[in-house]
Amino acid sequence: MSHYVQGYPVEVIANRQFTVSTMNSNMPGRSANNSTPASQAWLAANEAIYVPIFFTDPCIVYRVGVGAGGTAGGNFDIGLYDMAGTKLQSTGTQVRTLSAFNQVDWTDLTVFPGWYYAALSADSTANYSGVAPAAGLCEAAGVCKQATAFTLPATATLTRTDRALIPGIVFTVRSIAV
Amino acid sequence: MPTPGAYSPAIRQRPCSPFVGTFSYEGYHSEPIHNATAPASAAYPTTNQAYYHPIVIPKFTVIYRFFWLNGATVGTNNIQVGIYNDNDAGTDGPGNAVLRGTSTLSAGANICQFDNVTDTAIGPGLYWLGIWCSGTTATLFRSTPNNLHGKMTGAYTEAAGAGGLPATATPAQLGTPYIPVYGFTTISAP
Repeated sequence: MSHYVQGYPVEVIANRQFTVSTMNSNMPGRSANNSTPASQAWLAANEAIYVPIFFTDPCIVYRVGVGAGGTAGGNFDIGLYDMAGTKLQSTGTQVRTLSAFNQVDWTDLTVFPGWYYAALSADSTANYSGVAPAAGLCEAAGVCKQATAFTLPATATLTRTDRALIPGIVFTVRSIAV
Repeated sequence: MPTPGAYSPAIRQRPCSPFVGTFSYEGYHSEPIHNATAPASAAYPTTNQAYYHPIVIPKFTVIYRFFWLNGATVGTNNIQVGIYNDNDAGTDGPGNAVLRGTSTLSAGANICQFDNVTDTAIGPGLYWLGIWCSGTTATLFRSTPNNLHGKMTGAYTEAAGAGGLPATATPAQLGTPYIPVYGFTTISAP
């Protein structure tokens, strides 16, 4: 008689989640603010926010997403950067759907353990989901910003943020076959 | 409700955060936030007092800059940040200083202030961040959880005197919780 062995995807064991998000409880973006993510006005048209995020295990990011508030209009761009500010991949401009979680299936991106910047840029001030701690707390969490960064640039010009906003940027992952 | 970020899976240790501090994953002090309120600007409690807060470093890393988050009032008192070994003398709390920054006049309201130090590598383990201020006019972003939650963070304090952070800490148990936002960066910029 054979024994049944439960198989767990790597992300369940290590990341303990199928998504890696700036709003995960152990991410810098949540370290200074425990409020429930809510609809927040975007900072300024064409501005980008870069939020430190880490991946514990090698995985494939196959989908990205962000929640949008109730105001119609606007476009967004979600990306992932290394800590030197080099873009690994982005969605390019995407039409924003109001009052919905906007998801984009992008080309499978293999990510290795380490720190990255999750990036979101928008071309209007329409709302996105996130938290709004004091700007200094965002800065102390390592959050950066860049004006005139829509669509997301190949190389980010990282400047410490003076904005009171950390958007909820979501990366949906699956295991790498081993 | 999010859980405090103190748990790290055994499979692969998480590398240090870009900003390691009292409220980062390494510092445990997100717990008071989860149980109380987010840090806000307030005056430093006691002239020449040092406060020590534990952090756990999971992997070798490099200290590039100390930082602290100024509050609304700056420019009147000096602030100094450092990092201490754990338990050199066999007692609880901080021991000898690993690295102490420069005592610096606070500048820049409501933003982080940085003290660029000699790049210093530290290994995994328990350390203690230390902060000192020369007066009670300067403000810092800080959390003041209730006494129970404050004691859960394991902080210590010391009447350090006008000379700033001591080479060797003489810690006393903290009576009134006080957790400023401060620490060091593991990135040289931004």
